[in-house]
Amino acid sequence: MSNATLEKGINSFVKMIDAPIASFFSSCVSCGMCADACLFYQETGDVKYTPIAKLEPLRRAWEQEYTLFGRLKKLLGLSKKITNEELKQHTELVYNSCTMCARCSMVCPVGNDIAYMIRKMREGMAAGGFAPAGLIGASNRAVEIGSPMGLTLHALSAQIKHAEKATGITINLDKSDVEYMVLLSSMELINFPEYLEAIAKIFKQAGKTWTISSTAFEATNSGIQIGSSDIARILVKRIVDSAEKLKVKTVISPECGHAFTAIRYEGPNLIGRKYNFEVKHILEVLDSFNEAGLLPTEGLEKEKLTFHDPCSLARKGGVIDEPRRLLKKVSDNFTEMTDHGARNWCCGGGGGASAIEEGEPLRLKAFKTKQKQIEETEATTLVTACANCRIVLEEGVEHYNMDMPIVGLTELLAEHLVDKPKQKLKKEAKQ
Amino acid sequence: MKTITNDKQFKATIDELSSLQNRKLATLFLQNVMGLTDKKKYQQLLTLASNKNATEQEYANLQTAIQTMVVETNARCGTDTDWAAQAEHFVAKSALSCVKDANRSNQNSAYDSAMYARMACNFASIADGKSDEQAETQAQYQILIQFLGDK
Amino acid sequence: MDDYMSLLLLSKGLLFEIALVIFIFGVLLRLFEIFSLGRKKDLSEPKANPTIIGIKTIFTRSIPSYEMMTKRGFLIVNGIIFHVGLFIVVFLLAPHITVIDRLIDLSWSPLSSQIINFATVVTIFSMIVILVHRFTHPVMKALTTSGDYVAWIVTFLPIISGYMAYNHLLLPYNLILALHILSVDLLLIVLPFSKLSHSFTFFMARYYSGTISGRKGVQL
Repeated sequence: MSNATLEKGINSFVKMIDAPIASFFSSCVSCGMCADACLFYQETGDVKYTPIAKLEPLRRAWEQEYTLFGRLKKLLGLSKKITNEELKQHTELVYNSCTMCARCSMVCPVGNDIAYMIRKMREGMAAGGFAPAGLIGASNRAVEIGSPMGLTLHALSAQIKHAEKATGITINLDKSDVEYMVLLSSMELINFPEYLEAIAKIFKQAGKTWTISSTAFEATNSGIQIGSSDIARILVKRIVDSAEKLKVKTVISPECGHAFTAIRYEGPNLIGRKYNFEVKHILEVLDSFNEAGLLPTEGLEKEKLTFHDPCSLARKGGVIDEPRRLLKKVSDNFTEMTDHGARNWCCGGGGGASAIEEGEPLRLKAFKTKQKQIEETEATTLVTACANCRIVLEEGVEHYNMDMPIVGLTELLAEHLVDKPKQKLKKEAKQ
Repeated sequence: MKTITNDKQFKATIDELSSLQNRKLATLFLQNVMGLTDKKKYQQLLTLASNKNATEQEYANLQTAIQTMVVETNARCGTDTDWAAQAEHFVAKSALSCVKDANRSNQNSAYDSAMYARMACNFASIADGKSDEQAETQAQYQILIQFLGDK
Repeated sequence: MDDYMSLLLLSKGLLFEIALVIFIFGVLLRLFEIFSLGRKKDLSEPKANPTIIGIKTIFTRSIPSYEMMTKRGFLIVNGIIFHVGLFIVVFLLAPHITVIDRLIDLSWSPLSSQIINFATVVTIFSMIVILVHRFTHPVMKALTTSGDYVAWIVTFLPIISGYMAYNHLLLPYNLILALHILSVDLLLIVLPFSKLSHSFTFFMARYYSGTISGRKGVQL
């Protein structure tokens, strides 16, 4: 990296620092408890994975720019400079070995939100050219093609056609004035196309109108993973423009956890205004259908189930009770892992980590905690609600020779859906 | 002779089959999409399927190997998708339906195998513009009719 | 009248006043440094009231989780003992209350000297424990910088000298008392600019953290 790009990275660090970050750095007492909450430290015992230590360049940028003593030291040439070499080393620490799962933020005794700072630090890393190749590729594809995985409209149309054939339900692209605009993640369409079929069936049963936008079907946001607000803004703007053009009331985020936080919580701040529509996670929508009696299911799962909370959905998204209410509709044999809900352990692939090929061995190692917690439940089927978690879990389960199918919650519900006309259901409800 | 012209009939007919019949039929559906992958990878499975005395243990052993193929061909989040490879992934998933334990939740293995085979065709069509899911569906109806005739 | 009287007078007179001014200036400066950075208004629709959860987090974060107790219970318990001990020694010793009363005209009833003396021993012990822990725990060892030792020393000096003064140990009383007050002067000067700033910034850190997760309806 040249000095010019390094400068860009450091400037971006400085720009990112706000009052919360200054209060966090001012409060750290080097207790290192964040390490014990981190899956990467937990399974490797390597101190370099201590979450707060990953932020050292950002901390120095703060100290040198925004504290009296730091400035004095800088003036006298006594401060340690941020170098190319140092930031290069931090690529592994800030991306490969951090999923921004925020477990560390949860345990810090002084209350430092470390994941919040990692998110900001990535802005500087990306600006300085220190982001991993895998994420750069994904971001470029997201901007140019509309999907980080290169899923074109042509491919989407093929998937829609497939789902229409499988369900006998017509799926409308770009239909305006409907209630919901459904967003998808490339991961779902590519690895679990059943998700789209499940949505079609459930919405038909619930009698709700919906559409998919041909210009903004992708919900995942590589800009947020790599740490580029500029890219993130472009991707959010696409969705907002489409939703407003189609005049929908609600935009539905797919199961994918980070896609949800991106559009739900970061989105308005990226475009600088509130939306004219609501954003809901698919499980929130299904839960509301359920509450309104629009999600009739029959039969119970034979297997013993447990649920993996995607971090972005639970700890970072607040969707915790919904999946449990929905699961209990189709199972009377559901058991929780030791750490669940807001305290869950990350699968190891969030925050863009799974797109970094060279990070795979570390990821698999870090999966061990999850493995132990899954095995302790003695469940025979693992349910989750994020296509990325699902793939990472599949890899982990395979790596550790566990015999355990992994299913998506939305699809699971669709399998139990009662296919009955509405009037008949109403009649039954009255009886 | 029974006629099957839509998926509703297709599924209802499969629902009536035993789990062992399901497995046999699942393998027939898989065989029909072998063109989308390297057939050699599934030679062991095809041999096992043709062996009337095959044990559940043998299937269980094979399940592990095929599960590995499924996982290895997964498309990772954020990677540039290779559609032909993704077609192979779904062939592997179809194969996995063929080796699942016949004594455990296996009632729909033929239907699952058929659906994954269709998805494989769909992905192949994205890749080459030639493969045809519709034709595969029709072929599956014929396979089922033939299977019922042979039973 | 011994030779140390003038030193004692200086330490509690002019030097204490200077230290106090630097302390107040330092705290205000640090608060200004933080608040002046500001924070962008969050435009996303909150799922719960962030402010309420932020305020709650200031208190709830004092309660360690079961998981952390099993992993770092030793550090946590020692930390609690130290902070409670320090609070008792600083704010519940009669002469300290007198000083505070003189400064801001506010007083409360002190604890008995025996209890304070015991609390001091416990606090000293917990500080030694934490120092050894810093040297030996791999993560803490890696994280620790000179700043952490500075913070430890400037905290330890007033406590140990106060204990010696109270129990008339080793040095002449006036000297040790003067040293005690001098070390307090040092503490006051160093506190705002060192790691000890966490004593007044942790409220903010916890609050901000609470608002971030609180917006999503999550109380961590």
